Amino acid sequence: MVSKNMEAPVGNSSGCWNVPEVYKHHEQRKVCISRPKYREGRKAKAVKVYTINLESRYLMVQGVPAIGVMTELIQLCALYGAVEEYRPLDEYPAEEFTEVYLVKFQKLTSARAAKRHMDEKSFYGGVLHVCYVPEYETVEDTRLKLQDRRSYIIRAARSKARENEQKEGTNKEPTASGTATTSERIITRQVNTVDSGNTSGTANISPYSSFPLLPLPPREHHYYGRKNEHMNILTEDKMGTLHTAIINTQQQPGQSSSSSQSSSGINGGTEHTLTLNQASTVRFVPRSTNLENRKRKMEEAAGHSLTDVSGKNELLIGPKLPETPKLDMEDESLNTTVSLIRNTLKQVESISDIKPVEKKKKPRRRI
Amino acid sequence: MSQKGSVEGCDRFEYLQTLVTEFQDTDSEEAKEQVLANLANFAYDPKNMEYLSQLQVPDLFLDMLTEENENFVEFGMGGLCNLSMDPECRDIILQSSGINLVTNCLSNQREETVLSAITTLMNLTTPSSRSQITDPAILQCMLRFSLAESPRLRNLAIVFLQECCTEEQVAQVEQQMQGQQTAIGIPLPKDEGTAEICLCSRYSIPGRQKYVDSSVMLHPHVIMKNFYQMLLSDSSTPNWETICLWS
Repeated sequence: MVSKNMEAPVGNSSGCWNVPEVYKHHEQRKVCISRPKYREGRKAKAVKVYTINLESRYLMVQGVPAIGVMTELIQLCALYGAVEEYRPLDEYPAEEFTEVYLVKFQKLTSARAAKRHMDEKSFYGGVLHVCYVPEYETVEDTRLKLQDRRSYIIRAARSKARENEQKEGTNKEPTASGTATTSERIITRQVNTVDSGNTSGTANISPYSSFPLLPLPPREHHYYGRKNEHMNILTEDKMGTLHTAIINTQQQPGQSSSSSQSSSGINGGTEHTLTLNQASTVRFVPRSTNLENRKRKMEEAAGHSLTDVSGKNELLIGPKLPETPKLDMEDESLNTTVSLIRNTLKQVESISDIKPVEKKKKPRRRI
Repeated sequence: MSQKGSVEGCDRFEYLQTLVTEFQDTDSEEAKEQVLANLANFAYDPKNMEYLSQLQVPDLFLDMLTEENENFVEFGMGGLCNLSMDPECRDIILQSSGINLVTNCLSNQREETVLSAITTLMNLTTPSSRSQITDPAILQCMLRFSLAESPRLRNLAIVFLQECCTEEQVAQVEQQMQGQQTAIGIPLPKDEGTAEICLCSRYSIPGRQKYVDSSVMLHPHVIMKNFYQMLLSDSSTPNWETICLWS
């Protein structure tokens, strides 16, 4: 299994007997300790910028105790994805009683996960240092890596545009979110999505066509749920729940993959908390709460349209509700809970509304 | 729950805005470096691209390319490398005449910066920008890089030559290279004392030191000029290409 194909990177002038070069990016940089609280991540990290050039499906694992645990190491690696090749880097300068290994994963994402989970972890009494070693890539490896990255970004941009379009649709509906800040952002989004070539008629797009690419925006299901209401009020809840269920299962892999991607040290530390928070909140909100929330929204919107003047025109655009949704849960305690939740959410919302989202104009510096 | 997406988006936007504000307000170089690295890493995630372009972070990164602090240049270039993958950000960078600024980074001392610059140039290639990016000077530089000893630099330059231009273009430039040299991709020395050491060590020229008089303190640009003349005088020798190898 140990392959001889993975040769050390051989320069034009250097032969196969040369010691593999120790590059600067192999070093473990000093952890930065001077970050202010708000920029602190979950783990102490060095000040370093990750680009696709630095990433690779080739990993170097340093600090493996020299006690014949190669199989165990590769088994550990294989937890994160298929390992294509591996070999010990005997020539690489290693600390006493440790070994260095080169591991080539089939996919970059596996290497990313392996690095994230194995770096600085103890292994048979030693502490592993795992780093990318893009210098082992062939030209073809590099080409494919860049190609994959580019198409990933374009796919993400496309589904984002689609998501924004759909958001536009839902935002126009009578929800309580028609604040100045959101509508301002919608405008910029509209501008952004113009070149995507799609018409804004989101209602015609099949809801499922967009599922596999990116998790739906959380609003989505409440839009379709409402559409179903036209047909059958009794099944509305069920359908809503069903949709939520689908979305939740669809969202989880998406979320986890995004968090695994971001936590591999690619993004600034603080983003971990952001993505992870999001993931956990999406996951743990019970479905009944979603339903209550949705009901509250509709009801609130209806209430708004009677009393509130500003932003009402916008609120009335879009598919209209056939009737006011039920407010009464026909049970005293249920009603109390509903109003409690409603009030809390109102508070939460009003806080988020106050936050200024106006653009910060950066004075362009002279170059 | 139905609000979660936009609320989360708001938070993210605000957080990024806080970073940009801190970057502009702080006087501490260290804090600037940290924030810049943060922003550049955020640019890796396509979720943030929209917010970053709203906050004019592409321009912020471009501004960094002309800074004296090499970390600023490296992080800014890394950020651009990440951002330019996205078609919208790519267009913003192109509109801010980013090609020239990025091209200048090909002459940077740090390999990481040069690598980011090459990838960024590849990302910036569109039907309308192609002619500028496949300028003979840049292709010459890529040809030199494709002979470099560093495998990463070599691979990336080869990919550039394969993907961004035609074989005819490469052949044409190869011919031109017999005649004259351009400066792109040759690191600009920091000061007089280290200039020639830097050049000679980077190009691993055995026994050629005599071309540069080390006893005379020269202005970097004069040393560069001498260096090119040296290369020119060597271009008649059959294996002059080996001169261009990076050490």
